[in-house]
Amino acid sequence: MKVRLDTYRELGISIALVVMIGVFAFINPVYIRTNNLIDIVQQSTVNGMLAIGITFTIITGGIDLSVGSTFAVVIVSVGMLVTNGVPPLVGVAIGIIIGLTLGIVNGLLITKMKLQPFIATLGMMSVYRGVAYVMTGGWPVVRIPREFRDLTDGRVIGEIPVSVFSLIAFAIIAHVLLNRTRFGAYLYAIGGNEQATRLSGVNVDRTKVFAYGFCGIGAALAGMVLLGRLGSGEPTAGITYELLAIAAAAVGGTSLAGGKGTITGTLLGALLLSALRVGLIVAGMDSFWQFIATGLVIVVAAYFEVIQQRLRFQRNKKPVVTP
Amino acid sequence: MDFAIEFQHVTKTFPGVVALDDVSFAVRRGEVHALVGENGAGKSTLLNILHGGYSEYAGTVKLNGTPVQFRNPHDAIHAGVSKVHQEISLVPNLTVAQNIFLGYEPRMGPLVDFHKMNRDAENILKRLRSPLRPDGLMVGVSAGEMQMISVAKALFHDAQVISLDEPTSSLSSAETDALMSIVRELKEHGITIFYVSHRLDEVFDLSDRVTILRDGKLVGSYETSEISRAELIRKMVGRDVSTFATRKQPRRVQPEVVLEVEDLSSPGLFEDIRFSLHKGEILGFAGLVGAKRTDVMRAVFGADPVVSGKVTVHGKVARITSPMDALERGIGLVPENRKTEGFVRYLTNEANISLTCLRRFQRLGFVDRSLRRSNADTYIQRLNVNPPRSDFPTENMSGGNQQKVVVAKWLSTQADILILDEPTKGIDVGAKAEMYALLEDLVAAGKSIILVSSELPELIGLCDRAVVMKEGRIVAEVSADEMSEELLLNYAMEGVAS
Amino acid sequence: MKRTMCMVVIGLVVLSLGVAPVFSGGARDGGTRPAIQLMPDEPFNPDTADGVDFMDMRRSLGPIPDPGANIRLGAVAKAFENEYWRTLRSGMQTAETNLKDRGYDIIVDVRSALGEGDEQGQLSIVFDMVNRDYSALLLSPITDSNLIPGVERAARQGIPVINVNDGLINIAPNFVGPRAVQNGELAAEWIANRLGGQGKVAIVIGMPTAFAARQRTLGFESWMRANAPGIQIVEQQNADWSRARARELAEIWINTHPDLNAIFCNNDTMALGVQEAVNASGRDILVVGVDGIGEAYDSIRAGEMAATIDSFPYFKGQIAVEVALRVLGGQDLPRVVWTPQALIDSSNVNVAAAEIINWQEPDFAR
Repeated sequence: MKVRLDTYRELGISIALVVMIGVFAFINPVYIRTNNLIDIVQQSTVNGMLAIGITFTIITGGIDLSVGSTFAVVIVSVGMLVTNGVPPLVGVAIGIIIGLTLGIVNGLLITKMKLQPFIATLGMMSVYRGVAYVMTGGWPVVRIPREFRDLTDGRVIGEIPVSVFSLIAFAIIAHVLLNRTRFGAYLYAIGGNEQATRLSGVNVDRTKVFAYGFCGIGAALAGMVLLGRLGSGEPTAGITYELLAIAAAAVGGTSLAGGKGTITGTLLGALLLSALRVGLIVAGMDSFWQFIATGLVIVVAAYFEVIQQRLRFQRNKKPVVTP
Repeated sequence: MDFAIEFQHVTKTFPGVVALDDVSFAVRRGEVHALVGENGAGKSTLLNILHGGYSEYAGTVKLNGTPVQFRNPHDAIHAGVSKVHQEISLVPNLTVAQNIFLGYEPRMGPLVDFHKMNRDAENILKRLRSPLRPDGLMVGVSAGEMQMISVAKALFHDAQVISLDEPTSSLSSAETDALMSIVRELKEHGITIFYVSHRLDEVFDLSDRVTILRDGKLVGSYETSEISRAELIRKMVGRDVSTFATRKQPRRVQPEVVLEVEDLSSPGLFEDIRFSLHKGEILGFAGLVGAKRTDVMRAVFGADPVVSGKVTVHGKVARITSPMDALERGIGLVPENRKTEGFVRYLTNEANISLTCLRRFQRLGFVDRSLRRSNADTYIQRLNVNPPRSDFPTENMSGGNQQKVVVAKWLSTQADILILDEPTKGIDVGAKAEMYALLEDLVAAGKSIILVSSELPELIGLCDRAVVMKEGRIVAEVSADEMSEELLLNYAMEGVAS
Repeated sequence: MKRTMCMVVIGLVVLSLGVAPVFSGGARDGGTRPAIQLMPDEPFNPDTADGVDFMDMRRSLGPIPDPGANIRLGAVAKAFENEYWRTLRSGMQTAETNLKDRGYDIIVDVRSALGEGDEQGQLSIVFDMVNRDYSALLLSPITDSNLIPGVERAARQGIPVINVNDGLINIAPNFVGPRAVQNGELAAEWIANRLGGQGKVAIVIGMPTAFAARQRTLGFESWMRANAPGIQIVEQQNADWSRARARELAEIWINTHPDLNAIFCNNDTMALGVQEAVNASGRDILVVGVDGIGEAYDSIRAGEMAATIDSFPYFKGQIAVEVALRVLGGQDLPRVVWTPQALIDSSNVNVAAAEIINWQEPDFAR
């Protein structure tokens, strides 16, 4: 039988998700109405995109704390462009380029200036947030044209909005990048042992810069989804979203020490958090208790990771001891 | 006779190895007693037993005539037996005085009495004639001064016996001189010095008596004045040459030079390195700890910057500034430290092996997994990796098999120059034999190999030629016919052929 | 093998998405009520829009109508961590009790997001209320835009939406709240009187993007400019509603302006922080806040803070419920209903709020 470390994890979250949906449905059948389920998925799109991006940086053993601010810069700049008559698709393209650029700046700070990812992106988190404020003078960008909003918020099949399909498409691209390309293989290798990877003749710096650039693209896509959804863009958007994205990745089995993580896991993590959030609301839980419940779910998910490690260790040790 | 330390029938075994075998000798009070022996002769094990590093062993250790058995380094320090470490362990962001008193700070109620601490530290430093200020930070303190602080630390603990383990390996010659005079000073104060070094100059300069270990056994203790340097070296060598470290296939050296290194220098590490590697040759690099062989190899491979020098690969001048360049020129490195530099944890054998050569398995921008797998399977089979599975996580295998995976990683790049840095370190006898056979297969296939090893029998048995380094310089080049342990060790220790 | 199992489970999740309507049987049907006409998405200023004072509203529209059985009001506040929103909630609950006593069939469900950064969560609450097909929604959005999709969905389903201050929803047909600009004016007037029309003042602004912060600051500045030329505004900076940052700002200003006379803060939390700095400096500087939280009252009683502008969330909550019933009862209201506010200083700090604003229980149709 194949030893695929991550599969158990994904299976675990899937089961947890199904059980959770069952419990909430039992508490309040409204929960599994189509509308509500679509809401759950739709609400996971923004966090899902951010989380997929951040998963790339976490796999390399780094982190990108600036995603929430990158998100805001894209929201206000694309918002300003499309309200001033730039065609929506051009706006999307520019948004992606902005996200990519900000991500690459993070990557260069980390590789060329040798800053620790946490500090570098912590600094840029504030810088990018400031850029969003300066660009708008603190005011929201309003009256986003319908054509742009339809790009993300329009309905394709039934009540399912475009953004859900965008997320799926983005996830597939990310998955293929991670599993079917050199870039992905190098990401895992760098996270597992950067020194050994460098000594294998891999261009570690360039790979890392790509990872942060990709993370920026994730933030840009998420920003444009929210922009289309709300029809206006706030420079304050996305504050603390980086933490939610990290939580989704971590719940999905991405190791903050680097070297491990999958897109399926992260996606399931985002979905789980969103399902939990909506479930607690539908169940009518007091907002103070919701904090406790959400936190406990994250901690329990992390603990499952630890248990799994232990099981894996025992399983894989055996063939070595008895050859 | 007044002995400070007596070892009586001390035996220490590790699984599969006898590190010390019935060793008995004594150290007189107030003398400088040198301990010499080849790598693996048992010096470190002996020191560890003396200082509480290993508490389980057979035999007796006596301190001032009383049997002692230290369970940990603290016990030893309290009994007045201190050690100045080979790799100095000081805390860089504390002051000099804080380092000396670390863990034993004078108190005033719950608070540290910094005033008393600095005053006491100053007294100790004065005794050592050190210009260091007790309240100075460790920033900019040289390696020699660090030794000084370590000695001061030992003095603070009222040490009667101080062991110095290769204290000069990282010191400049001026610093070495300073340390020498400190040792003499300590001796005058009646402190017993246990001096471990492979620098014969120091041994003959300082010591009153010298004890020689070989393969975990005692060769003997001698008055230093009554033994010659040649005799000393002869007594150190003579280990059983492992029968399996021999060439079983004909030699393959061809006249074509594949790698030529000229004037390679990196100040503070090595200087003026020049050697050439022929096609089909196994070129050995011999030397003691601190000879900087690893640094030279990393520089040739582009892992560390080089200040000056010229590297020619296959007749073309090559500017190698990163492992990427080395990869392109067909040079591979199997680093000394497998776990931190050789392979990537979490990854399967397949992923580790393909790390160097993914480009080759690319089809339309995507990695073709079947190509990648068949490549891994090929080498797993060829190198006899156990378990023979490409989807097995490398980190869960034994050391020897991990090493094979690292070698496979470079073989699958089709690199024709392979640098192996201590490839048999920490792997068992059977795996070693396989590794030797593999090296022979490789040269038979036209590859060229640089073998860095601290095991002389390995070099003698396998190499077509050996280069000997001492303190960052190449001191000799020895052909296969001339090679002997005595000669290599002479060069490595003395820089000349006795 | 494991991978296959994983796929199966994921498949199940997707499947449950599709099967769900079978279980729920399409219980909810939005077609029963006509869609609500929303306002155009244009900048909206409730201070200057078409509006009416709540007393005038009662006078012109008469008693609170009874819209019929099974009235379910859903109210969404920003965050119950903040005393303001808890007080608003208790106001709404008082209104609910009063109405029930009168025999109205009403339930008021008041919920809040998980903190003021939980924009998506707040939207989820609105969606949930829409899914439950509530009669009307009383919304206080975290940002000007985060509840827009919820409002749009509610409108499609024929659920009236009433925007309760603060946080603006441009497209919501009704707004209930005080005139924020009047907030600043009351503070400015009081400070100018106390200083005799001469002196130096500073302003601690909340989040500069917040409507309330902008209007309060604007009201303060323009009143001073128009009515007290002798008073100079020497500093203004934002402290993002944070007590700690407000205190830091005040410490700096106290040092740089030895003749500073008064500091106006956009809310009480910041004013309390500023007051700590003033206490520490030993200087005599008037500190005026906005909101009327309990701690500010205590501070005024203790002779520390000079004044606060109370917008009486307890009564505001009651008025919001009243407006919802009037909307549901088909009454024709102007877009904005202004709620009462008053300046509280040492002279009236112990007077009951109802007395200060001359609160009277509304008349009921039942």
